[in-house]
Amino acid sequence: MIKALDIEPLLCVDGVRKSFTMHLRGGIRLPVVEHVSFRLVPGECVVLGGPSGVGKSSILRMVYGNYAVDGGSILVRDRVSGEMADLAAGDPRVILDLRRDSIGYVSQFLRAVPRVSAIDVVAEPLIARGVDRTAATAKAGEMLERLHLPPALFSLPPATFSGGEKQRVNIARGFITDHPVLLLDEPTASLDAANRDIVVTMIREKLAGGTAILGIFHDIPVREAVATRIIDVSAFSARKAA
Amino acid sequence: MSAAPTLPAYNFAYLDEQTKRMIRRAILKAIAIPGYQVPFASREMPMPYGWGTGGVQVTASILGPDDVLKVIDQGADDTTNAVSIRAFFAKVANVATTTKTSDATIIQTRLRIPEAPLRAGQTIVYQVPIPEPLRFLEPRETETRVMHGLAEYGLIHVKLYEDIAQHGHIATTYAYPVKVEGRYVMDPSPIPKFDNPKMHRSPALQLFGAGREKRIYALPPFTDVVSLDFEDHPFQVQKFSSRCALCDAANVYLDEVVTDDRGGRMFVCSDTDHCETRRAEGHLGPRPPQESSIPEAAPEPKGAPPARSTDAPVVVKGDDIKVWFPIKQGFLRRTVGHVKAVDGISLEVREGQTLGVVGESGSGKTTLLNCISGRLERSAGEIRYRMRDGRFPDLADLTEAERRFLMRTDWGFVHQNPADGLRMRVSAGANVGERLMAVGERHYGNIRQTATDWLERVEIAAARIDDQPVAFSGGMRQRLQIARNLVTHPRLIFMDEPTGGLDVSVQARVLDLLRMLVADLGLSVVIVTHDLAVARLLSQRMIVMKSGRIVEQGLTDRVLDDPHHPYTQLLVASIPES
Repeated sequence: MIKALDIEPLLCVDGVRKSFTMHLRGGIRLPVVEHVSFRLVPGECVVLGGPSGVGKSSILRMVYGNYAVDGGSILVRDRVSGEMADLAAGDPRVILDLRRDSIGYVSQFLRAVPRVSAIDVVAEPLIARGVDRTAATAKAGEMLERLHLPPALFSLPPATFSGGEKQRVNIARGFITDHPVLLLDEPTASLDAANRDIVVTMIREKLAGGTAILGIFHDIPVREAVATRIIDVSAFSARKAA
Repeated sequence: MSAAPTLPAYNFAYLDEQTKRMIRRAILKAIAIPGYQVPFASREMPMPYGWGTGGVQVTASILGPDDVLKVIDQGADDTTNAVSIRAFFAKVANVATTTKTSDATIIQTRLRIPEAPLRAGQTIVYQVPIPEPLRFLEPRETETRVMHGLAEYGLIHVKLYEDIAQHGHIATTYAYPVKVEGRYVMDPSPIPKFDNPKMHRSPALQLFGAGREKRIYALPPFTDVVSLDFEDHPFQVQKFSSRCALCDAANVYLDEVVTDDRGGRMFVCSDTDHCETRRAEGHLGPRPPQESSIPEAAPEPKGAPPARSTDAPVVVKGDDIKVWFPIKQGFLRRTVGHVKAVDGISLEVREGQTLGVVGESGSGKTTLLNCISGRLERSAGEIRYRMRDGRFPDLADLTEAERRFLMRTDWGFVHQNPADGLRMRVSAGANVGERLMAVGERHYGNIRQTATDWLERVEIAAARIDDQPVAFSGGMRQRLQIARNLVTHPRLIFMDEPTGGLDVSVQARVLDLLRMLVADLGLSVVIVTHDLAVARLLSQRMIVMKSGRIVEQGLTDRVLDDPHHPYTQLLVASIPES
């Protein structure tokens, strides 16, 4: 096993706190997590563990900049400059740059854009990075074929797809780029066994290529197949103290 | 009452001397600025408007006892209008009149310029029904005045474009617009375009009077008068295949005269004096009628679309913008307070980025948009815009001309109601082409090709290019408006509820289109919407406004997925789940 401290980390989470204030409910404050600290080095797959509602998804979303943090820092190595950038500081433009080049995210559910075909949904992150449209589309086709999505669906918008089909489009979109940090939120939840195995293979390929993965896997066989380390999020839970 | 009922109290040439001086001052101004329409206090004349009252007033003001007056109507000395005006001046000024062009010192005319070249010392006075060349394209006088003031003449080419689109050539045959001394676009009164070249560098003084519209304009001797055209559709005068049946003249403007009730007809000089002079010199025509005369059409051109302009970095930066509207009350209309529509907003948009501005109705979104797009004055604050030349001036420091130039080149504005952003009565192609013509494109083939390409990009069938937007559905109009805005490759687009009035399926199509175009062209966009789904789809960053202030801002998905401010939480909680 790789020793985390010897290698330059790609992601450093340090002392992160998060709570929600529900203004529509009289301003009650719901603490979620506190003192969240961990780091990710290339080639490791860190799995966030713990029971439902403990704050796993919230941590993932904070690392992606989707949730704001109350305190602490989230440093991500910028692929372009090589410097660590603080995503938790909340500058939208820093987050946009990091998302484009350095940190990818496969969410639990695909947020389908109306009228955009599956293949274009998958190709979009590449095009955003300046890859030629034809090349990007070809690569997107390969990804979808690998995930056994019927080619007849490529040109259709995913809004009408089944849960598993949507999930595969989502995975293809997340895996098409070579972001050094990849966040996975239950990517195999709605997949059958055959496709699940393909995703496991794809994750292993990413890890072998030096990508650092932070994920949530409730699926125990998948978790055991890919995890290099498991962090128990219950340790960060703010609720037990509250 | 005094005794002698002898002569009616006419001053020389009917008008009183004060009026003549006023009109002469207008004429002097007009001569000083060739082609510029000078307003004047047009008087009632003893003839109805439309009978040449403008020309009559100009003639009356410049007429002296020694002048020799010729009056023509459609080139003829013997038509009702010509005869009555000539008789009028013979009576009220007792001047000599003539039908001979060469003998006249002043020639008042309706619809023609004599065939015989005018000489130095002669003055030709045109009767003008509608002096404004832009009138049927832009109905607002305030707007056409600004357009003249800033020499913003793209619109006049829209008319010529429409001609070519409909007829394959520039079919305007009279009142053909000209540019005077490279500056003012002028309507030469409804003379046939056949006569346009005669105005160019004419040694005679040319005066134009519009009585009903109260305008005088002028061409001093030897003024450059250029008829407008396209590079691939150059200006051409009518050519006639026949010669005058009476005097055998060629290269003159001919009138068709019906000679019997069995289809007999002949073509004769419209200039009766020219015809008579030639006949007196012994030229005789064949008389029997010949084939009809049809103006020749130019060949249909083919062209390539213009090259794309490269995008330069763009920044719009607003600092502490305030727009306050005063509340006035009471008898004295004292200001008792202010409606703070926009109250201290700072924002920044960078190249290739889309900023969403959301908030409910009345939160000041549209006011903010109008303010940063220079359409509404601000009460306080600073708005700077990066120009193509790298300058970063405050919008308020730009001249009106610079600001308007920005609006039609660097900026686009997509209105919620497409009718606000389109010319509903000109064709789709001309709607798209207008902005190209406004930035100086003068090749019809290129303009049409670009317009066709853009219609295809916004998924409007190319076959609809010559249809007017009034015949389009709401979604098509909105897409046409988008094409019109994007054709000049602006760097910054302002959108005000671009999908507001559209049904859901059309909305998705327009959104998808906007998303693609914004990404492909690297545009910067400020989009105002109350629809959070639209903001999520199109914008990377967003501002949430309430009562003229920003209550929350940041990354779009962060604001929507993890809203902090009570108002944002309420907005997000109000979206129906789909």
